[in-house]
Amino acid sequence: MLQLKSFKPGGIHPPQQKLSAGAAITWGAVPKQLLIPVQQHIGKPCKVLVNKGDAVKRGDLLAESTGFISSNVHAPLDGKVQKIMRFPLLGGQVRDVIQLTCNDAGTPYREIVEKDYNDQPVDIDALDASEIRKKIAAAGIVGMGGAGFPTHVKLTPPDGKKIDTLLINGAECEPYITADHRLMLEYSREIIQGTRLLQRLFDGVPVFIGIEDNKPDALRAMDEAAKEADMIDVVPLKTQYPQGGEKQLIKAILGREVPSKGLPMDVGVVVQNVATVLAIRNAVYFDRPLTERVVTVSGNLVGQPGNIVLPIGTPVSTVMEQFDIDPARVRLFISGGPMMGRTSYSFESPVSKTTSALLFFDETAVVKREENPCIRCGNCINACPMGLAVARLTEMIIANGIDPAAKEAVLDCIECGSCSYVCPADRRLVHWMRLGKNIIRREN
Amino acid sequence: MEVNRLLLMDSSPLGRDGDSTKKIMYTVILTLLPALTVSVWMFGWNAVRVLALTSIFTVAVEALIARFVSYRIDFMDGSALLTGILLAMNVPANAPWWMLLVGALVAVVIGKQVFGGLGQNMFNPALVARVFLLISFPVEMTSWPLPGAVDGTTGATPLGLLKTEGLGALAGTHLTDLALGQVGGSLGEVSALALLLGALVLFYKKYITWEIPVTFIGTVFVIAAVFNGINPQTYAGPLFHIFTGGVFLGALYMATDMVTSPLTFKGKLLFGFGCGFFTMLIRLFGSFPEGVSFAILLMNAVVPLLDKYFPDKRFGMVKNG
Repeated sequence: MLQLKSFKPGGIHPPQQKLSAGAAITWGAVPKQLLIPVQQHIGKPCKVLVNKGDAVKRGDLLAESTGFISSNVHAPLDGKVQKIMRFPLLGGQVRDVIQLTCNDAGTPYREIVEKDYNDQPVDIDALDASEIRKKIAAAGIVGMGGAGFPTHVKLTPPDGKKIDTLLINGAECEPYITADHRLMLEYSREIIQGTRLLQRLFDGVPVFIGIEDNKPDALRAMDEAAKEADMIDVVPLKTQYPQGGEKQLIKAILGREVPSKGLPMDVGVVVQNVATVLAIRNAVYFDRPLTERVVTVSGNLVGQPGNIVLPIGTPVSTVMEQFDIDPARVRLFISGGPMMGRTSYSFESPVSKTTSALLFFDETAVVKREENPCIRCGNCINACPMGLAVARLTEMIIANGIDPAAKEAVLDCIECGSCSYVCPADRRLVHWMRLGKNIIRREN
Repeated sequence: MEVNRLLLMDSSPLGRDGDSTKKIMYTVILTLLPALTVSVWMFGWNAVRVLALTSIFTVAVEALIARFVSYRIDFMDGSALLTGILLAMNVPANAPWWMLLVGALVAVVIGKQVFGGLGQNMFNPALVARVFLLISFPVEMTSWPLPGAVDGTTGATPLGLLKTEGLGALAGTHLTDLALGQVGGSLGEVSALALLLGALVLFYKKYITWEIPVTFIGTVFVIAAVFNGINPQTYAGPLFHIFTGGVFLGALYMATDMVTSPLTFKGKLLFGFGCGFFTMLIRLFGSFPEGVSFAILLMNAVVPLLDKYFPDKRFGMVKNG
């Protein structure tokens, strides 16, 4: 029996609940309106370029990046700018959104999108690396795995940082989410095309595509698609959370450990998620900005869990209509997965570039949890993929006395949620770690 | 904008694996059943009496305290009951009821609640009570009923005999008697193998790990072997030392108490070593015949230091680049 690759230390095995794994990607109708968040990335805020009443075309730039670590926002559909207003996003934060009424409401979205693509072969080798980077930056691509870090920045390591390996992240270790899984099945060829583009950026370095072994069909499809390509290998990974964490993926596949406070590039690696790679391919091949993404719609209130392509800015309520979800029955609504996702309070909030899933649950999923005293069982420490003494650190944070040596450790937390998941005392450990990070950052 | 007030808002993660403090406590209690069965078999109804009284006393004391403190105490979470049962295993079967009540009061009040309750105590509550009783009522705490003695005959433990009479007095004691519990002692001292049987479940459930029990018992074994090797006429052998007294109860159930043992790998190794070392120091050179309780309490006191100065290696503690 082949020993599957995995990370060390820590990790947990939550029930996978990949209910929508067998559901092919669908396309809905064009919604009546979009609420396009002006900022969907980590970094400097964008400058809005449109005004109330403006008519915009699909692909038009709506908000412009204002620095290197910033990212453009484009119009997913033809329409008219109704207004620019403050609105709650899926994370709960209230930010500027551009309200757009769509001209083609009701028509199949797929027809509109497919007009932008053709099968004409593109000569990758004719493209220059800086041209590729420019196109990626222009397309407003951010990490679609959830972090939302501007992709062109990640692809432009500073001088002196030599990249020798590229990793494509198809682990998708969060329970319920299957968006990347379906992409790898249905768009394997396109993802490999994108991968080859990235490979070109780094002078043909070897590429490893990491996929958890709970997706054997995706492993096969990607393997098949990668056959022709040079130095692109598909690596089956053990199904273990958080296998898709950037540092964990590097450890699992390459055995390298990103130093504390460091970045993947410190060990010569760049990691990109499969959905991001597909967006990169579309941007470089067809000059398509990132204006739609695949979102998993699942949870015990969803009769037929699925994966749907949604234009960025689609209000959740529109999706709920399409999936026949009764808002009155929803008691728990999560954007993202159950481990790292966020609960949200407004069904009018829009889908953004980083929304991988919308999960709807009824009251059976709602567990009222009271924090009990820590009994120092050590489960959190054993589960922590960063090897942190979570029980001790959270104690210090709660007592507001984080000793200097512990500060680095707190900042290393990736907020994966493994500690809270295994805590028998139901302590909100991730919450306390986040608080600790904020306290430390404010001090600095 | 409509806000659904019935939506649950919480920070991630939204799921839990379903383990709970209660589950852990009651599982530990269940794993003590083999050892308790042996105790009852050895000491008869007297063992049942002691067990029932300490259990009722500790839970009742905790319930009483719960009425007077500002923080929330769930006196049925199993922790008080576990303390009660462990206390029972640390006293002789003929202990009078008032001594058990004093023990329960000391365990719950001084051992646990004055520190702030569950999870906050530095010392193992049952051991605090045992040592308190041992010092306060030395006669009652050292006249051990002999197993199967229907007439209430009492005697010393093998370790007691060793201390007062020397190795010669133990000539008739077989090693299998020690392992299976055919000797005088407290409820929990009498069967090493039954304790091990229960502890196997704890290992399987990962409620305890190997570090503390192995280093504890291993250290006792090695020190005993060294002295026995130097002078077999004066010092008992290593097997005698690990199977008598509270070594198994201490190493498997008392030293591994989550609240009062270290969190880190090296911390656990040192903790287990310290427990074994002080146990043997007291047994060989101290005035008490048995040193397990004192050794564990001593090591309990240094747990915060062990956690602080012997941390586990974090991810990413490598040279940059």
